[in-house]
Amino acid sequence: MTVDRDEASALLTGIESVEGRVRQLLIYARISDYMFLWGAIWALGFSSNYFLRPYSGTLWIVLQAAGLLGTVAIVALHRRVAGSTSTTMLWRAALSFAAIVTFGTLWIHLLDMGWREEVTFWPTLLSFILFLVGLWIGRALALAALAIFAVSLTGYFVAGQYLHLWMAAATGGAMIAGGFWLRR
Amino acid sequence: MAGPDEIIHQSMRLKIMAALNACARNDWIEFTRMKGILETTDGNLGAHLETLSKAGYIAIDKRFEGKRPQTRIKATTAGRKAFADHVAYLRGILDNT
Repeated sequence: MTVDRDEASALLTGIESVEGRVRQLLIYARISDYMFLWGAIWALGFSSNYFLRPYSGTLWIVLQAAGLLGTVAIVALHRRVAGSTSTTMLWRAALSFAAIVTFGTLWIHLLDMGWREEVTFWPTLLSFILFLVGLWIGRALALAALAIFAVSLTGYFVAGQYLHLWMAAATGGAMIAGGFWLRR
Repeated sequence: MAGPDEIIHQSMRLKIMAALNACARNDWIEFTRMKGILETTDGNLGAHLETLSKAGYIAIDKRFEGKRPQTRIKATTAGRKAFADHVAYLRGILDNT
């Protein structure tokens, strides 16, 4: 069997194309795990704001702790599947979580946000970060993030006193639906 | 420079191995997902998977996910090595001409 330069070049181009597609799908699958987790946490947390108002502060602390533990568990699972023994990803996940929480909390206080702005701030902040990641990773993620951002912002303007319910059902639901869409 | 691997060299089989090689060692790709990545048909993909499996380049696992039958595939160590060698061979052609 003889292979000329043109055939070799075409085959290598085909390989690169397939590898790029697979890597993108793997990243989508991994990001979708976090979207399922945080979509569920938003749905439960914002529901508690509406249905269990006296306990919602405590419930949010519990849910955020569960979210942090869940995030670390997902990173650990991805490491195991990848056969990696490095702890770099675990540290990156924990530091990213801390950085986002610190940034958000700082600006909520500096801007003296009201409850409606604060409720809308977190989903729009996280979906904005996802959108930026999507610009680098792939269009599907950017579009999913944009949809979550739009749903959250729409709630701010139209949901009125039902904003918590909107965030639980529409934004939490959009996050979970976005995760499924990335895995389609 | 090693010679070409005639099993892997076929375009579709090369793409199958490229897809599997891009995954982590413990990662499997579902048959339907692979079909979507390569934009091919069940019959065509199945025939090439059979060839690669007989060569010991891939492992095929048939199981039930709930009530749905699921076929998943991953590259074996031998398959990863054969793929790496063949890619090196192809790159060598470009480098030497």
